[in-house]
Amino acid sequence: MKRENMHYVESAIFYVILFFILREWLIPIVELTQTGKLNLLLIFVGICCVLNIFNAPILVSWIVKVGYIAWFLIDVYTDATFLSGEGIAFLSQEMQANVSVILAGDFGQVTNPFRSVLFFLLIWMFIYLIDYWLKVRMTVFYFFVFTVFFIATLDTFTPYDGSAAIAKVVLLGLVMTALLYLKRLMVQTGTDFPLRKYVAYVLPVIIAISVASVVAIMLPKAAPQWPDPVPYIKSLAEGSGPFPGERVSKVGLGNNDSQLGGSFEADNTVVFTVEADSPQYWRVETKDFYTTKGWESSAEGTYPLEVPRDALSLSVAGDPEAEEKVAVVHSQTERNYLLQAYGINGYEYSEEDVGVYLHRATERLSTHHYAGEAEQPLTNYQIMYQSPNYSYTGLKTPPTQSELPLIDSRFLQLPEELPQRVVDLALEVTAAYGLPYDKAREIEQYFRRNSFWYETQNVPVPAEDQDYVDQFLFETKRGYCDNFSTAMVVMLRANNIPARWVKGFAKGDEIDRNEDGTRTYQVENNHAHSWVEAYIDGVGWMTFEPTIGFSAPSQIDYDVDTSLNGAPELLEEQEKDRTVREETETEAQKKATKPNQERSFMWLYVLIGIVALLAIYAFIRRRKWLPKVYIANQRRKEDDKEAVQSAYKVLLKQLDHAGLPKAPDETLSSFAKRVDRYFGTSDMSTVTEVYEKSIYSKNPQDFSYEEIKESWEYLINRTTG
Amino acid sequence: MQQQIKAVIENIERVMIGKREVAELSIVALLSGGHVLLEDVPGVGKTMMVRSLAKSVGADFKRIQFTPDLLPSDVVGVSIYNPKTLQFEFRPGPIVGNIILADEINRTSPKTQSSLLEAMEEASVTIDGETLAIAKPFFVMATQNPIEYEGTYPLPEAQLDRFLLKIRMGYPDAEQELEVLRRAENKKPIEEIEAVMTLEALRDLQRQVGQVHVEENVKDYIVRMARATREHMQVYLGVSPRASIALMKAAQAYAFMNNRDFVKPDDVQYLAPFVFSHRLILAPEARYEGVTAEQIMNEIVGQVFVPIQRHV
Repeated sequence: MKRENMHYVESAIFYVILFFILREWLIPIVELTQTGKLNLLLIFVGICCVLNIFNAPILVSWIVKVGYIAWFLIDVYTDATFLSGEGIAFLSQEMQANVSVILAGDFGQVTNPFRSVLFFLLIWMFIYLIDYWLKVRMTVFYFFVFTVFFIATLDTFTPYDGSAAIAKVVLLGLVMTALLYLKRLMVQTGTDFPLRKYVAYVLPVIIAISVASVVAIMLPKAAPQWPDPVPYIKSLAEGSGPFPGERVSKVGLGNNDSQLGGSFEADNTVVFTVEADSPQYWRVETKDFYTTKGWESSAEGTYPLEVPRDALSLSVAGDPEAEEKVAVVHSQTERNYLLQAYGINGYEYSEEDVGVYLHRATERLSTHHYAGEAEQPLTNYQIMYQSPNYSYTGLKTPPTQSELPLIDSRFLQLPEELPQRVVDLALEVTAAYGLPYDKAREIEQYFRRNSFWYETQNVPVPAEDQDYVDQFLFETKRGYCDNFSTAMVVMLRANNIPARWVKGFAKGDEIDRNEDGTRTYQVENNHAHSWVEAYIDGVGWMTFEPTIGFSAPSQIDYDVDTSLNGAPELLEEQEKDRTVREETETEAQKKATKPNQERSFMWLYVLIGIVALLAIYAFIRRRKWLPKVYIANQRRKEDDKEAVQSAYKVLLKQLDHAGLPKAPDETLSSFAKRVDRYFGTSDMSTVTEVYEKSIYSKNPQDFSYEEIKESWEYLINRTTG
Repeated sequence: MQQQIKAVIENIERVMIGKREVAELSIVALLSGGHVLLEDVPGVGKTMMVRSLAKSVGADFKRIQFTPDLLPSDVVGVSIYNPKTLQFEFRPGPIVGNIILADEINRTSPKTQSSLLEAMEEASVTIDGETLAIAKPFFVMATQNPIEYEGTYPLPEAQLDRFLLKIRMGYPDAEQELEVLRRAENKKPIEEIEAVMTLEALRDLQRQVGQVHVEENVKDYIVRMARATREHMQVYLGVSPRASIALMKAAQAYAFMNNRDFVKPDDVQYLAPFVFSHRLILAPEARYEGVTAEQIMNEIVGQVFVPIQRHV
């Protein structure tokens, strides 16, 4: 290697820049793997750089580096002091143990100290490679591109935020590229600038890069034009799991909803099975206080109130005329709440000394011993209910006397910090409608119509000064039930429609059909869900389901009679609403057609992308595989004049690719001699002789492809390098 | 290489050292019925070349030494009054033969030169209205000293057109010259060689040369080559169609000599400088710059692309 090319000062400058670029590599790695000890790693990088700057002899460089690694291991992993007998013993023990583990192929058993060693070695190698790039090739462009790619990848696929790192790396990398380019020119032309002249050349470049970078940072950034590809890539990686909509957060089970957001994983623990005659939502509790980050209850800490178990009445009333139904619940795990069906009338269970208690603010029901009021979860109980039913006519009739003043103001609470644009959006969405029901319906449908996205992974947690709903509505546009339901509640409240946030379980999976016509549903943690209850003025509390991919059972009685003469407009609207409703349900039944459709489009893009990449790759590597195609093609052809002609044409093309083009004024035989000299064969002359006959002689049929086949194939193969 | 021709060349090589190319080119001219102009200084073996060629094919060899006072009748012959028969009798000059060496052709007067060239072109001599055809094969090898020598009458360009090829002999290199000395030490090699071919066989070969196929694309190549000389910036007058024909004929002979029944662009490329160079009239600027016709021909050969596909 030509190492004398660079002066110490010069290589020191390069290494300082490199050090900072390498730092941008280490930071995310350390952050993401929770390695820690970033400073000690950086010191190692620094040591390597310094050793390279001064071209330390290999022996010195090895001793220093190995010494540092040993010191690191002992200092970090033991209490012993460096060079003490204890420390040395630790090291030798570690190495022995790990070497035997690795020899046994049991890579999972490798200990942390050894992993650190490997990591250090990796850094070592990396710096060695960079040293080569820097001092011999005098270009770090590949390294630079690689770094940008690395950080961009981490930024995209992990929580690591690389936006600052990218800017730094680009700035440093471009400066470095410019410096090295100048250096390369100087070496090539053999010039050597005095310092002043060097600075005069370099300074404008650095200033230009800095100015360009600052301008680039200041410029407004356009929003991504394409939907985020990460979810698809991830779902690809996870394999064909169930539709994501089925996988619902465990959040619904916890008591603390004050911090919503973030990813969660599927949990298919069975919570309960229930026998009921139709699928429905199982309500657990409601929350009313929106904190900008999540939900709390405004009545925290109040005592539950005992209610009669067989004559319950909650705020979402059932239809008194409906048939009373019974759902039998078998809890699989102990839960300190009772499930509620909409329109609940009461419970039945065998424990005599246990009573039902109501938490008034949340409408959560729990069971307690009468004596001592200790919580006593039930394993088996029956729910009596009459499903609510709302008359479409009633919903479409403006209330004669507003009931709103009677509704607790806590259902209209909005945090003061709520960004104005959320309110503006909420009003804008409903601007065209007057009736509360229409407004609520419009908000419910808003998400489906505006390319929101159901996504359980990588849903961001709002930052310190960020509003959860604002983030969802304007920035991410993707999330799961909590995002959708919370956003809807906030938008309803902004429209002065009282609303609250409901937790519970979605319908569950049907696992059995019973003799009495009921069905058994198995409800897992995955089915935990949240939705919305809104108070429709003049009608009462009503459920809404804004989450994409879910649908609540219809509770609306489309009662506008088709034979009725008086209200054709209403009828028309009813038909429309019913259609919307049905569409939504079909959607849910088909496991969300819409996202699937979008997903299939997305897949198309991904597929096109992959095909394009493959095509590019194939194009770049064409010299490797095209000849094989040619040979195969040639073998299929009939043995005639054409075969020789096409074979020779292909050969000329291949030779041209291989860096042996035929000059226009060169005759074929002199070209053949040149090629043969190059390859050290006589095959080209053999082939050419036949070809010459085929194009210059009187009887072009006098020869056959068979004569040149062997030579031709040999040459084609040789051209592949 | 064609067997009989190979034998001739080997025969010549026993006399001439390191002049295989000249021998080959001479045979090309002989086979295609053309004539050769050898341009070189005296003493490099021009005469020996022709004599050995003539001897190898068993031909009648005649030599005309051109001098400023040579008259046309000294070349083509003269009618002499025979008192016995009371008639003029035609006495053919030295030109009526098979292989003629016209030595130092540029030393004689243009009048004599033109009588020679006419005979070469027509392959006949006409004296007093009587025409006498010269028997085949008829092959003239003229030599001339480079024209910058004093006391010469340079051949007019139009006359030069009559020569199929112009060849330079060149000096032998040291090794070859040493070999020349060794052979000439105590014997005359020219005396020792025998004919390896009959005239009849030579005529037959000449007929066969005409059968060598020239594919359309090669003809096109020749034409493009000729046209390129006419379009070249440094050329005042390019070659004539007669030159194109000459090139084709020469290429046929060369292909035949190489045992091929078709002409390749290689043949054309190789022969073009020999066939075309002496037919170009360079632009005055080019002459001042000292550019030679050979240089221009090499340039042209490098500019005309070679056909690598059969015309459809």
